[in-house]
Amino acid sequence: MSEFFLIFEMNGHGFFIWSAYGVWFVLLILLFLKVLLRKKEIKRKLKYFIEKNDGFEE
Amino acid sequence: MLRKLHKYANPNKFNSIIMPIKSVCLYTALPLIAIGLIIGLFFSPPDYQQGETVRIMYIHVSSAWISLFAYVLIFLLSVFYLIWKFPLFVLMAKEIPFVAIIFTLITLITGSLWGKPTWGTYWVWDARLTSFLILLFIYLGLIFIDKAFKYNVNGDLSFSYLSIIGAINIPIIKFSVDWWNTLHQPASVIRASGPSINIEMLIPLMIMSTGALLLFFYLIFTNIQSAIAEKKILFLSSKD
Repeated sequence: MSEFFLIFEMNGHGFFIWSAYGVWFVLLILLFLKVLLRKKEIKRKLKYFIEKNDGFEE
Repeated sequence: MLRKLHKYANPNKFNSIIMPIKSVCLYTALPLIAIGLIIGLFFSPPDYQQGETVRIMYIHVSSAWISLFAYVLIFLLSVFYLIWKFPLFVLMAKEIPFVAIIFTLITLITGSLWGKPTWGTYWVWDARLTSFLILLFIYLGLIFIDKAFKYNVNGDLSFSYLSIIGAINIPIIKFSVDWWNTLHQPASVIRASGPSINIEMLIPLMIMSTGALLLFFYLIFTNIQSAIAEKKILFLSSKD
């Protein structure tokens, strides 16, 4: 069990390494969500306008 | 040659081309990043000087490369827009800064977290760090111009001119470590005499960078599709 924690301790530099990876992960997830939510919202709006304009697509 | 490319300037045609490419990008990027993370964190060797902190390199360097590559892409698309006046070029260019600014932010934050155990400080005003911070502000400027002049030709022109002026910063970032005495280490991968980095570190770095690049393309392509759909909505709403 202690060997398992040694991997995460990274010779005393664990805080810097895991914080860096944490920031990287959180920012990429937020970016991913922002891009996908924008796409979803636009799809919803486009569907509404296409239905309103009798199936116009181009 | 150029005439053959004209048909791809049609947003609908372009949309149908990027659709399959986008999926390939995402489904290749995710396993590559996962493999790169596992090798980088648990199997690559520690550095003889920096020890375990070198593992930050796999996310720091890959993000830095994406930030610079993204700017080169914006610069090229802006030049193409000013020459050929295809609106699709500037539409594509405008979708890049928001994604690129996140990669720039990751580079600055992870670099800062790497700097503390290596240099003894989170930040120093050396040429590489300062020029990278300027890149962040240029991306912010491009985002503000896009928001301020939404759907306006003057906005498209302002965006293109600013991105061309800002491109001066790219060679400054690249060569800052050679031109000035900096705390930041000189280039160890992209250099004329070949990489000086250990192969066991180079492999996870290249895997992570390829994964990050494909993820970047996926996000950009999704944003471009959204922007094309936004234009359609604008057209349809103007008919009301």
